[in-house]
Amino acid sequence: MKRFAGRLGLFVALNAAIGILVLAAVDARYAFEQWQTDSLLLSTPRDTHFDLVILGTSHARLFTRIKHNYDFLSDALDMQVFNLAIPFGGGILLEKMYLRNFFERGNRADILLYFLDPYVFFSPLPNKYHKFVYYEPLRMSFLLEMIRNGMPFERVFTYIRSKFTYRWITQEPVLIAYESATLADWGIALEPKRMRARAESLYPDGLSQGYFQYYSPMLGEVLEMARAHQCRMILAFPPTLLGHEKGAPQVLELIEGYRKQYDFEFCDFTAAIDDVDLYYDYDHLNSPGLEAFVTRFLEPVLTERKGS
Amino acid sequence: MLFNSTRFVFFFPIVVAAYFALPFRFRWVLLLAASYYFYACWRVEYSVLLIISTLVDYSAAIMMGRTAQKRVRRRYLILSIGANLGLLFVFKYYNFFRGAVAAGLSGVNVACPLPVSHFLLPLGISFYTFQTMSYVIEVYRGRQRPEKHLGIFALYVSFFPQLVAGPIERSYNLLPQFAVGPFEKHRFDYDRVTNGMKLMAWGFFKKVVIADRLAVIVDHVYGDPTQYEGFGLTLATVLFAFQIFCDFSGYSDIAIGAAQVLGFKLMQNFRRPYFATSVAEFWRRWHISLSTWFRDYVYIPLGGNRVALPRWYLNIIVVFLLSGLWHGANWTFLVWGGLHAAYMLAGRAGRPVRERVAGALGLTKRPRIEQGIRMLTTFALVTFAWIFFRAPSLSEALYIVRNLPSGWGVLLSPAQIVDTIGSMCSLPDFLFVLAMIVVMECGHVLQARGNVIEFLAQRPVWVRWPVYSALVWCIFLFGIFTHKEFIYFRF
Repeated sequence: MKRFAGRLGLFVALNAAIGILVLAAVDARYAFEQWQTDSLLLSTPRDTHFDLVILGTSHARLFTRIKHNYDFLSDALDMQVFNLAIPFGGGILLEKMYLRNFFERGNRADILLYFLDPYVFFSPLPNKYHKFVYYEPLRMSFLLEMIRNGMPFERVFTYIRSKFTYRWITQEPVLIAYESATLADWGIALEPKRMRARAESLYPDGLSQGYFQYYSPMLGEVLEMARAHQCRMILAFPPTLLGHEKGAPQVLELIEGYRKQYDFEFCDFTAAIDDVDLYYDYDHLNSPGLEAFVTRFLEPVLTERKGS
Repeated sequence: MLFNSTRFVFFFPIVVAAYFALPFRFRWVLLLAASYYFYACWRVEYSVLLIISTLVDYSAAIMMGRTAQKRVRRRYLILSIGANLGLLFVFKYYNFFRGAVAAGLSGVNVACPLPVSHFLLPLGISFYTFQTMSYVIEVYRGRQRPEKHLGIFALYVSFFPQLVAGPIERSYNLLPQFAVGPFEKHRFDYDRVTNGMKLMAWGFFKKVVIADRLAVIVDHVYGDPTQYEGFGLTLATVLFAFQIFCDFSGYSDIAIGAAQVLGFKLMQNFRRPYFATSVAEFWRRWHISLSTWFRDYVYIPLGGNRVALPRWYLNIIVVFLLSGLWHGANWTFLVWGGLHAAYMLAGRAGRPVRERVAGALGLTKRPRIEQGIRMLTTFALVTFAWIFFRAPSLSEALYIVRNLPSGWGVLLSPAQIVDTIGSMCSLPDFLFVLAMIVVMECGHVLQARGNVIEFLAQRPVWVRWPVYSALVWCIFLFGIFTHKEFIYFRF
């Protein structure tokens, strides 16, 4: 049996070494800017100071995923901006993990602006079952963070395995220069029935109180990290044509509950932009929409001093 | 629990480690507990059926063992078989029976009074009921002593490597291996354990790399066959022939390999079936445990071939119709079984004609060419029958059959061939799975000349380990792990 254990261990170690060598060789090639990739780990630098760090879902990811948006945002605010918002509807569990990774890499931020979508508290789909496993590089610290946060084994397995695929090995930076499309360009009409269906689709598990109880303390962990790193914390609802989500009242109550413990600001931008030509779908701003939002709403908030 | 699941990845090594760490006399307890846990991971409440089948057959065999009176023994045999078939009827065939009654009554404008059953098909019920029935029949025949140890008998029924999809083991093969004494023979043996693991890896390769990839293509075509013509339908059916082989033989390899790691020998269930040169030979190579079960417990008791010719033919028809029905409660399975019966009858009746034709064509002087033609013909016949096995309904199967001859002009244009394949899956995926099928068949050709695993075991480590590593990396990189069930779990 010792011979078996020894040989099995050697076999596993040799193959693991081959895997690590392949991963290291592939990883060494990748250094993307935040507008070139959906991966947050690939674009997160080390030991860098940012004036503004954005968190949220795809509603906030578009602030820097499109090159023009990033340039406009940085110039209009005159700030070094980093975007930790998670595309494809990333939830609070993931945001907490990414933010912790950001700080652990020695980075600093003056302002954390979290565009909080209420739906992220009510289902594991944007959290444990999000597709980030496919586009994030294999990092041991992040892998351990996934395990610590109770990610299902299948997700961990897929996270590791997807780094040995042709798609991962041959990926190139993707540049989206500008987003000018509007709802009309996509043939999306402002039909109440379609809009209700879209809003409902954000809640595949309904207003599950079980999931809400599980995920709501993670907002406190984000607020705690902001306090620990002396960041000005702003929570906000992002602009949308769909109105307040059905989970909004409960999330507002949650936010109010944290006011006793943490110092932060809250802005409700839900109805901030109501011009349909400034969206490319019901809840994502196009580039002109982003310009309008930043100029009219975001800049005043970010440059406003506390207490004034 | 599925073999291709993360739970099994942890379950199996833990069971193996505990098994070899435990004193011999407690090992049956561990295996029994592990087997019930394995089954209960699917649905714990259905373990009750396993327990019922175990207790009924255990008791029936014990009672048979206490008397030499054939009349009394026969009563217990009927009780046991009735109970097992009753379970099968209630949980597997009732709705099919009800559907047939309803169809018949609707012809005379009468509503069917029977309610619809909402019972789930218990995992492995067709396998473990047949296994326990074979035990009771052997006890009745006097060829098997009744097992007095309830725990050992329960382990024989529920042994997790072969519980849910076979091989259907005979009591005289498996029960003696579980007797408390022989556990002492199951010491850790390096070669046995490593060879078992290699067989499991080969099974996983067939299942998750080949079968589950083919399933994506086949499901696409059979999900909407109206989108395809002869070439596409034929291609999908041929791919299904490999899918079902890789799925089922892959499972069997994992089962046999897992049992081997623990020190148990299960019967071979597949022996390169698509190399068969006749349908009769196909059935000596495909799902051997089931075909021998029907041979020993249905065909031979009916008289086999030692009866008048019409009765012999009837026996073949009965066996294959029952085999079809065993596979599923649907008219398509009956047609599938009936087709194989027709092939068998035609094969036997047409032998003189075939031999004369082969002689006239000079094939008898070219045995390899003759063998090749017979293999291809057998493969074509078996694959045609798979249409009925795979199609969800008789009407869809017949649609496919009617449209097989159409649309073959596509073969004149490589671009159209590529387009047809492209409508089913990506071309790289298709070429990859074809390459893996070729690799698998090369393995079969080598296996026909000698045991490949033992051959490799004798090669130097710089030859062996790259081969094993390639297999493991292939499974890791190219396996489909979205928990596709083994096809035979549906039976």
